[in-house]
Amino acid sequence: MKRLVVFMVLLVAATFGLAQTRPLFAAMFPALDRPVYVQDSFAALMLAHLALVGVSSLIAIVVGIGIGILVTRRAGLAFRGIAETLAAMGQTFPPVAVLAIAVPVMGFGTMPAVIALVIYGVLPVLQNTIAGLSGVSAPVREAARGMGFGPLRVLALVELPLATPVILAGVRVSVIINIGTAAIASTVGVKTLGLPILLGLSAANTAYVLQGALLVGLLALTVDAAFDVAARA
Amino acid sequence: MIDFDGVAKAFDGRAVVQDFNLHVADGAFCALIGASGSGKSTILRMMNRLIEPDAGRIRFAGQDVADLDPTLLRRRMGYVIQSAGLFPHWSVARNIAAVPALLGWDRARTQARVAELMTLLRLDPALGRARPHELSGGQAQRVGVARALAADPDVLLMDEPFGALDPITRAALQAELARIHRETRKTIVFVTHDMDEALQLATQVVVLEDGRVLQDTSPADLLAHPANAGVGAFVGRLDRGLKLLSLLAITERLEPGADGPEVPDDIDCRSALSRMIELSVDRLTVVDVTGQVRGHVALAGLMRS
Ligand SMILES: Nc1ncnc2c1ncn2[C@@H]1O[C@H](COP(=O)(O)OP(=O)(O)OP(=O)(O)O)[C@@H](O)[C@H]1O
Ligand SMILES: [Mg+2]
Repeated sequence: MKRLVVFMVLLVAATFGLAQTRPLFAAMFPALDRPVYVQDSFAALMLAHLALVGVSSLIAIVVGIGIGILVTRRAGLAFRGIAETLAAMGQTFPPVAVLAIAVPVMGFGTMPAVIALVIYGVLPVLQNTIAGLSGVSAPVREAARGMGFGPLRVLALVELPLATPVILAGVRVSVIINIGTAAIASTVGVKTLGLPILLGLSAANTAYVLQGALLVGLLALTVDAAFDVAARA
Repeated sequence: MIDFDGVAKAFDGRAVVQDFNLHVADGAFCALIGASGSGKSTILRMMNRLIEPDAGRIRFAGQDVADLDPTLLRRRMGYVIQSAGLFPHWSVARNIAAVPALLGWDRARTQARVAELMTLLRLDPALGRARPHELSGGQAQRVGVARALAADPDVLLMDEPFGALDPITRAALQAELARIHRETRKTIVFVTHDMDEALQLATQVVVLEDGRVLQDTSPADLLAHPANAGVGAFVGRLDRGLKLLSLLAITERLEPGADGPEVPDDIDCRSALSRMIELSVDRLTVVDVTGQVRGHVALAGLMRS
């Protein structure tokens, strides 16, 4: 809890205060005539980044948990192997490559970015959903069925609550990775905290890179701390 | 109450239960006994349709179970398994109330029932708020039995419920179950591979081998007349006389008048014999709980079984 508060304060301070730190960056990088990124406000970038992460993570979570539930039902058992393989492939596939393939098909913009992030984010959720649901002990499951819980009740009242910690751990990994990966979406013209990083890299402006990276890192730490609090609850 | 008629079940082409016929009368305590893999659990699970038979018919209270909704059928049958299978994320009280909750009982009725069952199973009321991981094996199994009894089912299906317990806890729970059977007159089908347990508790013992019935009779008859060598091996040869004695209450060999050291009147003849050997006497005075003399038993009397 304390960690969460500290990171949150730092995050808010950096988002709204970074624009005022020009003297600091000017001193650190005397060769640069524009030591602070001013093309967009950091708050606007943060908001856009959060929106992209929120949407793509939400889809990845729904898809991952949904498929995880389906392939652990008796009727879906045959598809479990395929689902796991596809998800693993999705994660070995670099998001940049997904973007490179998606852009010629769908053009620049949010759509290809969301798709790339979803593909990349499904695996940890799916894997942990399958692990969590399969981890429910056979006697507990048998007792529930034998007592007269229908399939939906077994899932909702027994399996999902018992699998929640494991599923939550998968969601946490997925979202944290997503926060970092979303920065790459700026290569296809989406406003994110990756924009200062990309501009900084192409214009040899290390101060921009530092400012973008600082905000992405703080965001990841804050969200991670929030998951920590949720996991303890 | 439960009838099997020519039931068969195979797994992966291997027959596990074959031409199986069984009649369990209303109020009976039926023990299914046999070696590991003889099909005991499979037979039990066919009763509540956790497993569907390949052939034959199973009737419950006169109705073919295949015509009943499996979920609704199971709510009328208590089910207890070896490892209890308590829900680890629920309190003891909520575990016990699982089926009443499914049946939509109101709060007051559910709470009263949980309290009643905890008393019946001799569980400390303070345990109601505990989580299953805080319970001992014996307590967990008591909760398992209480949960199975919660909605007052017509029958109780028990699959080696006391298999994982130490001998002392096990004996205590056996006595508890015998008392519950006496008091509620519920039909009980009980899987075990412990012959002493079967003989002590059951009114009907069904000996299985490779999914077939070797013998289906009363405990006394099973001991006195094992149908074949297979059953004989199961009941044991050398201590059959002692097992027969253990089926006999001491009050059945009572002779008038006090004679010898005192023993309580609720033990069996085997325990009485053991006591005689221990004390090197051939007579024991039998007294009731108030200390009142009911008579005595003599060694010669025990012998004429
Ligand atoms: N779902 C299943 N799928 C495949 N084989 C099974 C299944 N259930 C049981 N069997 C097999 O059927 C046979 C009988 O099993 P069952 O569980 O009825 O035996 P049991 O008498 O209860 O044995 P135990 O005393 O070890 O519990 C065993 O050989 C077992 O491997
Ligand atoms: Mg078994």
